[in-house]
Amino acid sequence: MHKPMNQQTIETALEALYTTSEPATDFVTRLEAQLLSQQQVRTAVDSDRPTRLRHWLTGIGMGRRQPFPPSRLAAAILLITLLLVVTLSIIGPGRALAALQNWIGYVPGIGFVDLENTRLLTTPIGQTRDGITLRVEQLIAKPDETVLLFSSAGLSPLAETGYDAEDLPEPQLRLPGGTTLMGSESYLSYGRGHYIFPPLPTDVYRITLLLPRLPLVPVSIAPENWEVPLVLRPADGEWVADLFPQPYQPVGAEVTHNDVTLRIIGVAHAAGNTAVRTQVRWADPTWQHYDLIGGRYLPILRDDLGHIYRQTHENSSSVAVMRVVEETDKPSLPERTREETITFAPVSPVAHELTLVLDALEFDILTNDAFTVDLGLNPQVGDIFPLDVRLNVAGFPVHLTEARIAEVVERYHPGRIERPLHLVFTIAPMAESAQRVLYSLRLEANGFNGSSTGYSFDENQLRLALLLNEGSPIPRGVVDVQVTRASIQLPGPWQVSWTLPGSAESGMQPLTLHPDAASTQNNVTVSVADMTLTDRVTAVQFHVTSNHGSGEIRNYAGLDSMERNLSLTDQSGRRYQIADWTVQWHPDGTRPSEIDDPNWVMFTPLNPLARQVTLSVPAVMVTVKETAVLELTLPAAITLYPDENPMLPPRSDMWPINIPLYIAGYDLLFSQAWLQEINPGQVLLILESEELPWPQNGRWLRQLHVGQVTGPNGLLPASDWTRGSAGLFDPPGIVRIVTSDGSAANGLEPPHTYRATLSVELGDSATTGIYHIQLNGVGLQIDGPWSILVDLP
Amino acid sequence: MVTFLNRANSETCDDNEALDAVIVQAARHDSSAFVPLYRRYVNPVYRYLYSRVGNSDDAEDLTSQVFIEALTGLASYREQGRFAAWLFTIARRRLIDHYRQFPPQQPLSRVINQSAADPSPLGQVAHNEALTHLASLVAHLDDDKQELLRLRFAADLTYAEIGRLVGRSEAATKMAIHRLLRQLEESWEVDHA
Repeated sequence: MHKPMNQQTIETALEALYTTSEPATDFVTRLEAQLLSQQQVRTAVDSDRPTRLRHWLTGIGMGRRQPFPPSRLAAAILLITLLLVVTLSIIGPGRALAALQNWIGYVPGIGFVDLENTRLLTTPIGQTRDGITLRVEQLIAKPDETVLLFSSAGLSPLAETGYDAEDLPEPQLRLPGGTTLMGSESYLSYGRGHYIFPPLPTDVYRITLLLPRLPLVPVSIAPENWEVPLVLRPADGEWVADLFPQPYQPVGAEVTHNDVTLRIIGVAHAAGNTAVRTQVRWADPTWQHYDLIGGRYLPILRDDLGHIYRQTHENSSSVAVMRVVEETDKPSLPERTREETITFAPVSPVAHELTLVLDALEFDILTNDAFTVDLGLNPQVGDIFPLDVRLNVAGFPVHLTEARIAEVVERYHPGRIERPLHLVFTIAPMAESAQRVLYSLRLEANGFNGSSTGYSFDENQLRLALLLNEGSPIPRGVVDVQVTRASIQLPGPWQVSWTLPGSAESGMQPLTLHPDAASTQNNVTVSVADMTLTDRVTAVQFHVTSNHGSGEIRNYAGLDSMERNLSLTDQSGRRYQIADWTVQWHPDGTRPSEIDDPNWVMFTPLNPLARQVTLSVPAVMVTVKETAVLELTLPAAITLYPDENPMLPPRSDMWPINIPLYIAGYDLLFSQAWLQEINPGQVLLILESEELPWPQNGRWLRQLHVGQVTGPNGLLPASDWTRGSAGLFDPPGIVRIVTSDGSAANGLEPPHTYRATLSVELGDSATTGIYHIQLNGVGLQIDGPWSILVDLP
Repeated sequence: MVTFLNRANSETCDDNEALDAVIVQAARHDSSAFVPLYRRYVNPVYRYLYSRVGNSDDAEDLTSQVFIEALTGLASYREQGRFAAWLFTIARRRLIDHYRQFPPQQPLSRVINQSAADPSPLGQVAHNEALTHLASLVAHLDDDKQELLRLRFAADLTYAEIGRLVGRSEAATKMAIHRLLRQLEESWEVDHA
């Protein structure tokens, strides 16, 4: 007999149902290594289809396609760069920038668009057939190309069951004389996208879009052979300003560090976002800029009111199809200017100043360094080759001190094991620099299948290895290694501020309240320390105090129900949701990713008629500091074997233990332990307690805070896996037999049990001997709710 | 095992799309930067595929295909953002190819049977008879409805991401899933009346 279920418990059950099938750790590890060994990301072009599809390129379903030389893309970028340079040279930088303001409009979905000598639709044109609407949102006929934005609506879910990238519909524009223009590029998502066509003849104002089928929709699912007549007008009237947000160029919005200049060259405030056009210029001709967004944190936009706006992505598409431009000569001049648009959530109309904050800029540098490693005549796994290789890569002194052949054990279900090899290089620590960080290196060497690299911000350490697929022989003798590429980061933060033109003089300025409002339950007081009302968010800072000290709020109560009900309602019953992540508020304008305080909660803005609000906090977590030490002996001859469940990693048999623990009023008895290998080289020691009494007062032991762990060989390094928790478990040993019709044959319905576990990462080997595990506190979840009433002015 | 970290491992931002965009940009130029993207999505993609094919061999093979295709296709993935929808579009295409060879016939109950619960910290999954019953209710739903549940609960996509995949608005997707949960709730009550 099943207990009644409501929607929330069904939702929780569905989560459990669909998350029982996790991939095997070894599979995940192996696939990761395989991906790392892939060559540089490439696009591809179909070389064997004789039709015009020969010139089409798609990123999905690339079947029989050949590599697409990146130099073509570089050629296109170079061409654009040269055009800019020529333009600036002819009319001078000052005049060019002034003119840019007049030429460019911001088109949501496309970005900043040069509107000089363009023809446009004055209004979207829609056509509905069988309940499905195709709408041409805009067509921008420019001197160099024609951009058509469209959307579709009314399609059934069946319409998206799959499409064939080899058979995407090819759009055409039919001109008055009957001739047609074929689409050259497509950027498609379900329900919207845009096409790019060649430029229209100068005297053409009436055209017809011919679309054999709605894009990404399979054959015979929806009406086909669409014909949408369109009438264009020259973009020379005030009506154009009503169509597009008018961008502006902030004066003096630029910052220069180390010969690199970040400049804001255009800003547009659309209904759905704020678009910021950036330009980066640099002096070093060997640098190839490719990423505005380096460092740890995402770009943000800050205003003078304390709002933080995060990046949004309205311009994405699922499928891109583009015509390949025939390759010209390889570029001989480096690119030293890059422009890029970043979009953020729309800013407050009462803000006066904006600041763009980028954590770092990243540059790609082609290098031509080389070194050798002598692997000898019979290299073996485990061999270490001392090196004293000193390179100067991209201006960084790189000292390789050692190379080591390491075997990576990758387990494949069912029971297949592969052992690819890595030639791992040890790099001497580099002097820290506030100006530059060497972020990655790429190596190439005959006999190896690629390289892997990366930078650990936590360890300030560059990692580097050459990869060798399983079965490939280890190269012998002297190996020539080429260093072909490096990337560097220029840490910031890079901050550029500007004043908004025409900010609203009146409007809702942020109002911060310090209400004397609190609620006490179970000896825990939850109070509202600050509440700030803005036109974008309602920011609430809670304080949790108890006999044990401070704590933090939780947005659900009771482990058995997981009912989420942190809420804000006003006197009229209006309920305010947790705010969209894209806008936050902090008195110091701190970037959101640095706010790691669960007691800061952002709700949607309050209705102006709200006079009183109630905040309901369902539960809190408090930390009780207390120390205790466990002693455990890891016996000899513990072996790991594949788990019966192929989805789980290897483990040992459980062995009985009898280790009592008294902490924070809880009597725990750890009664069994086992080892589990979560990754090759990562073995966990796991202790499980006897069942804990089911809480009667809404106080749940949830966390065991593990401090130092000492093993037979001394102090164990800290690890994220070394931790303790308590929660609901299936009882051990239950084996469920499920028949093909979905019913359970054993008829058991085991109740969840409430237990605690401790896990300690032992590293790559489980050394027999005595371990001391120090605990320095517990986390208690205490169920409420706490209802806090706040009067508004 | 050598683990290579990069900046995204230290990223504390909790927004998937924004973080994805950062990594996609980096991965276009350095395949090693694809790793955090892979780590973020390998479980949801695998779970989703497993929920469709019902065995780990095929789910692993398809998962490999999806990520290799995603890596090689990154250069043509435009404008950043909404990476999840793009990735799951690939996954669904791979499934269609798979089904052309092996028509679907796997009951969800078998899927559950093959993934027994484990009491370890790694296997803290509620896995009881009620789940089995719920699985049988789900198995009786139309496939497009099951697909919505898979995308929501196996792939762990947001309503907006699912909406992009199935061609609906975020609100319509949310409503459709809400109705499905309601339907399951009512079916549950009927079965136990």
